[in-house]
Amino acid sequence: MSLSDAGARIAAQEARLITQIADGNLEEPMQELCHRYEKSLYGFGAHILGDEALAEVMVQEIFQRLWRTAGRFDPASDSPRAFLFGIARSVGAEIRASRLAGAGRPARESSLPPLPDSVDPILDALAVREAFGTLSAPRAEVLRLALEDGLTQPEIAQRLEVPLDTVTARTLHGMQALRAALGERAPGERGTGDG
Amino acid sequence: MTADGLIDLAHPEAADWLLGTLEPAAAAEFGDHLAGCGDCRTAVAELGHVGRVLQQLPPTVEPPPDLAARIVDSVLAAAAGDRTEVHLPRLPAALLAPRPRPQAPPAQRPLPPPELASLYHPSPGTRHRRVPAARNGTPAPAAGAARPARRQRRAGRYAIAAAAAAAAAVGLAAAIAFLPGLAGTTSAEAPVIGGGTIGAAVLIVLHPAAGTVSGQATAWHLPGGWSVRLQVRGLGQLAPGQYYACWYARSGNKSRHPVLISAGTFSVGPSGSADVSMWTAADPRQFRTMEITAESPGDASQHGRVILSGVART
Repeated sequence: MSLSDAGARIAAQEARLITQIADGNLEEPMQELCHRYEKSLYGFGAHILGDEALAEVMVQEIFQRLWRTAGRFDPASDSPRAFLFGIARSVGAEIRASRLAGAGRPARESSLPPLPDSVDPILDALAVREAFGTLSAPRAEVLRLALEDGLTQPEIAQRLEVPLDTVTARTLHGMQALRAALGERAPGERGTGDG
Repeated sequence: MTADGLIDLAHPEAADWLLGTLEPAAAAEFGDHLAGCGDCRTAVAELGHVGRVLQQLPPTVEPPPDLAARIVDSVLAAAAGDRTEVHLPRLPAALLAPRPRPQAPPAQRPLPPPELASLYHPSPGTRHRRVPAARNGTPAPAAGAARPARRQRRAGRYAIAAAAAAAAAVGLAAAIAFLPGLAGTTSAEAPVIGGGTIGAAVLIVLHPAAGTVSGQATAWHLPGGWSVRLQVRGLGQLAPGQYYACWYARSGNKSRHPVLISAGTFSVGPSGSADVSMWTAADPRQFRTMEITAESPGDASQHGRVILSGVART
């Protein structure tokens, strides 16, 4: 099974969940989509709003809007992930706009982080972080040792008592898998829903 | 794209370079190596972007553990609210057809603004209880009354625009959020808020006194007061004439005699859910406790049975 097959299957599942919501079958599909997306949407909100309380309000609003607009979702042409993040972008932009409208107010009331030129880097980071959870344990382990502990390939080989070539193969294959997650995000998501 | 096998030919230094673990001296050396090693060049070209993303992963933030449950509850409450009658209609329904008010008269009583007050349809006989005097005999709540009149006039004028912006921002209903012009409200349209601003958002998670009732409220600070969205689930239907009331409370001079401000009244249909928008002058950062009570008309001296309560997170 290739990564893109898995991605397509997940997308099909999630498309069904959104269609069920459009049909008024709310509870279980909502629970499932919340379970799958609350972390990345919350992370996205916290990064563009710089405030976890606002991120919480934002995530709630995203799912309210998902419920109200699920009927517009077209499984044939929309990716569920792109649909949700499209909503997230507009909700985030609206909250930011409302907050920034108070620019003349005391600084603490408009203490938003500067918005990057594009939210793509944030979405990339979220997609990679999520994909990290799907890596095989050996691949995730070597990547963690490099990224969190700053170990070089030979140091990892020593630490794990594994041949250096094996460590490098795990590292590069792990990165390939993560890159596939970015690739899957890219076509549907970029430029969607950006007011 | 490189076939899976080919990437195995890259040297370990390529992996280190991609993940930023090479020492500076070794990194310079790798630069030279790269010029002569096609396998490493392939790996770097293919994985350079994901390597940069990995090196710049922001710190993880975790949503509160009960967020998913509250989201599901609030959507179900909103959905049920759509099908049952609610005495306080959602704000945007009325905003869709605002009555023209070229000259908003200066507000005599600070709140709610006239436009918003007209949205409320409290239970028969309960209008006088909207902002009653505090229960412990102290003068009427100071939260709104103490505001300077000039600011109030301005607040009245901007109330609708600000409320519309708030509705777009928090999407009290998709109908408003997706109207042309309000859809995708961005900074370009932000000036509609005029001198107003949405300040703090305060979240209040409501816990049951007993049973499986649940609810939450979000309060948005707008010019002139607070727009409160209350969502409840699992409430019992009350006897005819009875209704639910929402209160803000803070501790008063005497213990066991809290200062209470009514935030509004509502009822629930057979679903037991409601999704209502209310307006209040009480600052939930001061009146931090929210209580939902079951009330009977005609007995203003007696605080009804508390069904749900919660404390604002600030």
